[in-house]
Amino acid sequence: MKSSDHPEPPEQGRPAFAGRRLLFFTLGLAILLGGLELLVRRNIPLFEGASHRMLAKVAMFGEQRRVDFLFFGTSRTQDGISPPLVSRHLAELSPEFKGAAGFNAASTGSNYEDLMTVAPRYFQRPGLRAVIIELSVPHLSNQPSLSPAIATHSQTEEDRLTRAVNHVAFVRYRTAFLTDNLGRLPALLFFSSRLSGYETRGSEQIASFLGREEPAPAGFAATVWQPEIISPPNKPTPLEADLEAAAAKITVLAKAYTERKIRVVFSVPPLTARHQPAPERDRLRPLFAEVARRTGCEVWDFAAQPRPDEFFKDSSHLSRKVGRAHWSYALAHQLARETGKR
Amino acid sequence: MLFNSLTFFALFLPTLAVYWALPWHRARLVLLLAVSLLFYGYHHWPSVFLLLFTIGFNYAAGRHQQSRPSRVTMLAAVGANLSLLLWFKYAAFIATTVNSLLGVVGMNLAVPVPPVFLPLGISFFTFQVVAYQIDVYRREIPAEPSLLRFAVFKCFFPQLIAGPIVRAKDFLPQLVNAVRFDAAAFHRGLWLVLAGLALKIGVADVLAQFASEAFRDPAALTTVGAWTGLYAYAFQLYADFWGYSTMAVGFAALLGLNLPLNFDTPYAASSLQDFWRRWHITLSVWFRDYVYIPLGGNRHRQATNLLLTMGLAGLWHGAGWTFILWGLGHGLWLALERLLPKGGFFAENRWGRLLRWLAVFHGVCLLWVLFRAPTLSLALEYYGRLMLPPFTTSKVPGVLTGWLLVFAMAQWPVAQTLREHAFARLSLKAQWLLGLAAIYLILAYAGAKVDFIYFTF
Repeated sequence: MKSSDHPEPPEQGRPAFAGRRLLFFTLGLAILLGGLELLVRRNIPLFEGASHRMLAKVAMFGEQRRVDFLFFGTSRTQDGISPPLVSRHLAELSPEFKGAAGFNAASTGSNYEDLMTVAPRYFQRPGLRAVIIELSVPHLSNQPSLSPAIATHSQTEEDRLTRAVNHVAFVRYRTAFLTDNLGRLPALLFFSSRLSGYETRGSEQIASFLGREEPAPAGFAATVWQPEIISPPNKPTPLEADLEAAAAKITVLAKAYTERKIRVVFSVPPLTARHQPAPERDRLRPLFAEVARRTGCEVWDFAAQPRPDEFFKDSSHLSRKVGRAHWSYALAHQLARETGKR
Repeated sequence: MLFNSLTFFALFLPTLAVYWALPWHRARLVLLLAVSLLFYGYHHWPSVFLLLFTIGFNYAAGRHQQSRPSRVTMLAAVGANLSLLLWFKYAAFIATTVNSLLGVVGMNLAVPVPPVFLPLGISFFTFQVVAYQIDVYRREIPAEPSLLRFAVFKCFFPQLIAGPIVRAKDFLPQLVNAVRFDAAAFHRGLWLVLAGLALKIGVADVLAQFASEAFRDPAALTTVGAWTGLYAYAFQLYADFWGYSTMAVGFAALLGLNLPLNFDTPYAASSLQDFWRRWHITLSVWFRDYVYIPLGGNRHRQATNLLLTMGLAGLWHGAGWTFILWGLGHGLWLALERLLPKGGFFAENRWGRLLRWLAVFHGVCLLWVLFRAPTLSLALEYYGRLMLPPFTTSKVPGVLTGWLLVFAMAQWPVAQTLREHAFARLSLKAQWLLGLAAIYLILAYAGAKVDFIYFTF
């Protein structure tokens, strides 16, 4: 019998059919990566959104069927405003708002520079009626974290190759896969159109996905939640240098919307008495007046009067169950009044 | 050009394709040599001349020894190689130390400190040729007759800069005959490259942020912060060098060549001797064969031999007192281990083994402080935060805890898959899962571009 009739037994520990196994391994990986590339290419805004809190809101906003009111701000606004409650109460206050929808685009770490960077992604949306922008110390002091897309013209070999491989979508949007960001992907991919932006917890996201309504605030009294309204004054208010710079930034941001006939209102989130120091109650007041004058927009100062602790989870963040519902209703009242003035 | 750079892959992938397409063995060797020189020169092209000089010198010295074997020739060849290392790596350190000593004794003299450039990987390729010269002298191997093969052995790019330190008797025979494509070896090579990259990018670079932060200002650390920073560094160093070595073995496997694995779950060691059998294995073996045994080994003055060997190993890692103390610390500990009965202070049962493992791991970690701290005073400050009051706590970042726990648990199964053919024998589903996990780590965490730690040695 020829030796070829009896193939040699594989070397100790060596896998049988090595060539076939190698082929299947590489082919399988290539198919899986091809599938990932297709998935990312079909959902580029969502994968881009997973990489950053603010971009996640932009991506969610893009999936909404209708948005009339948009809320910008830090975690104070993110935790404190439920757009479905605002819309529901608005519809109760005036039939004009029946079917109106809001979206909470606030996020932890938000700042005016980044809001300016993403502004075109919001103001180009048809049907947007009003934008409510938070005025607060953290919103002024947070550092920008979104870099505008600057074309780099560095000529090192590594840079050129990086630009080349960035044509692969799953490489370009790879920061979506970082463990910190990965948690955003399921909601963005599967039910972002049913979220209103304020749902930071998984349980809240599931509740919104299932269409569960939040209860109305018990014992809400509009007069108690009345903000101090700062209307645009005629005379300029002198500002310290840092506040002057802040006013300039905020004015540019507001004009990006007002020039497109989108109403802008500034809101100062409520604070408890124990929140100390609170420049919103003293040092920032000249800024509020000057921003109102330069933009021609009202400032609703909910921090002028300290609010009871029962509405808060800490000294500056409203609680999810009680505080959020009350402030949402209070904002609906002000929005109805403001829109009714026109 | 780092293994974790796109530039490297842009060079390697076409090389791989051309290498396997070439039908002539000699042409493949020429290609390997050309790419190795390009790879080395990309970082600092004048260093290529040093490399070419050492190739020519060591080839000639080896041939000379073959025809007229003499201890003097061998010592001259070894001395010449070590002189280069001494000049490039240690001249500034020696001059600074001498100046400090002159200052202490009140002499108003100063030895000029030479501004020397440290050629990449000089510590590794010097040791490789020193071993070659000694092996030829001992008649363990014949001197390589082909200059081309010797040059490829000397500067084979996957292992040129940071090892593994390949022995001539293991590598040169692989270059004699044409390499045939072996699907199983190629399969293993693919996995080793993926796994190595994932270890470097997805583990070492992530932990590096925490370790760097901890060692930047030890005085600001809490006790908990100091310990977690030290754990982060211990695993960063391991993942970094393990990742690099694994990639080196993987690239060689893709080219049909076999390099030895350099790590074998070192933090599972039950004694320091066991640790050195698992950590940077090719260096440990080198010091054993060319320093420790010639000094007398276990036969006489064992403790002194251990101290000397490990002190030199410390000095090999870096020209600084922290490295020397690190090496001496290991030497002292190894010597003490020999004096104690087997098992040391701990009973030979499950709990005893657990305690012994904990003691070894923490002892190694404590010595890493000397290895990582840029100065002795910073190292002492760090030891103070680790072991002296006030004992304070702080919140450990969740990412750090998670990464440390996952890596500590995953190192065993990962190490298993790196052994010969182990990966290819897994089911295809398991291979795809592991492949995707590695790609995930590489994709998500790519971009930090932290240098491999051992490039600096």
